[in-house]
Amino acid sequence: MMDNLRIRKYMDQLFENAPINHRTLELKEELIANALEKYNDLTLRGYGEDEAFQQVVGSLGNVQQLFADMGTDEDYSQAYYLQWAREAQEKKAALTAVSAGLFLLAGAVLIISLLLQWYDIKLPYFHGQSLSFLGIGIALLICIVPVSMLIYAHRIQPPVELTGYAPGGGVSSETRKRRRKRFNQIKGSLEGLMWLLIVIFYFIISFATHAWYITWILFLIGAAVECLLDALIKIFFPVDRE
Amino acid sequence: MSITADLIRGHTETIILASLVEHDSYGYQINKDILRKTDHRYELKEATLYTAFRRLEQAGYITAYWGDEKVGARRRYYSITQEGRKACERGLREWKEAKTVIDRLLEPDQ
Repeated sequence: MMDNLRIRKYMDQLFENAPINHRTLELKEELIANALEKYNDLTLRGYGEDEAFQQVVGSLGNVQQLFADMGTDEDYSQAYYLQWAREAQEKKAALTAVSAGLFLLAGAVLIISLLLQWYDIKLPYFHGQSLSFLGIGIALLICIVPVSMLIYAHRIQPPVELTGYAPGGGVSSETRKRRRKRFNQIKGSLEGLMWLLIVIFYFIISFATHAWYITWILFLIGAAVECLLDALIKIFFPVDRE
Repeated sequence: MSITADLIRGHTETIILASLVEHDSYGYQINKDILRKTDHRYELKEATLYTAFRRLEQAGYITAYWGDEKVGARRRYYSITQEGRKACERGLREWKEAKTVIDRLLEPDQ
């Protein structure tokens, strides 16, 4: 393992000044794969670790020559690539954390509904058996979200698969700013609509059920949904760092 | 020795194409095949090999795809195209021609 790292480090150095585009990234991974295999073959044939490393490195030849025709025509620089890698990592971590939280929430809903049933506390329309069914239903519905998030997180690929990945599509920062502004406007109107609907539903449900003592919870749910959406937006559409 | 190495280098692309005719392969495997066939006397420098890959890819003679190795780095496999096979045959023909010519030029007249 130590020496795999040594070869990888050597390649990192070798590619330090290479233009960062998907061709050089692929070349690097290709070289690493072959170098590691060669190294393993050599050590299996009885070469010492240093000897094997020297052999592998020695047979590389002038790799710089390879970069020469790989140009810098692509729109992403090394800095962009590193930022992409960092953001992908953060995104994955955030997705996993939020998913875990949602699973806990689903569990909590389930437990609360069972406890309510156990102590025979009655909610309007729901009590006894139907209460636990309601709990299970809501818990399952909640679970849909973290499951899809985890699948999405799983699909965020390791850096070298930048192939065909057009970073920002070469969009200028000016356009990005405009897009973000528009995006915020749309988000604002949607949030307004959501609150309006909540107020309407609050009155409809309250007048229909006369369960004023509990219907205020709609506002808490609304706030929770808003926080959740905000978090999701931050994850899926990270603010472009200029 | 160095003439041989030069000659080999001059035919890098045909050599690579020829090693892909039977089955798809990847950089290290191709170099191993070359070592085996030459009794460990010749091998292509990685830089030479990968430059040739890129040129062959651009010419449409080979296509590349990634292996699905679960551990470690993924291998990049190459497979020869129909065009590539034609180019390989062409290269072989040219080499045979050159060989006859050089034989005639270098061997003393009977």
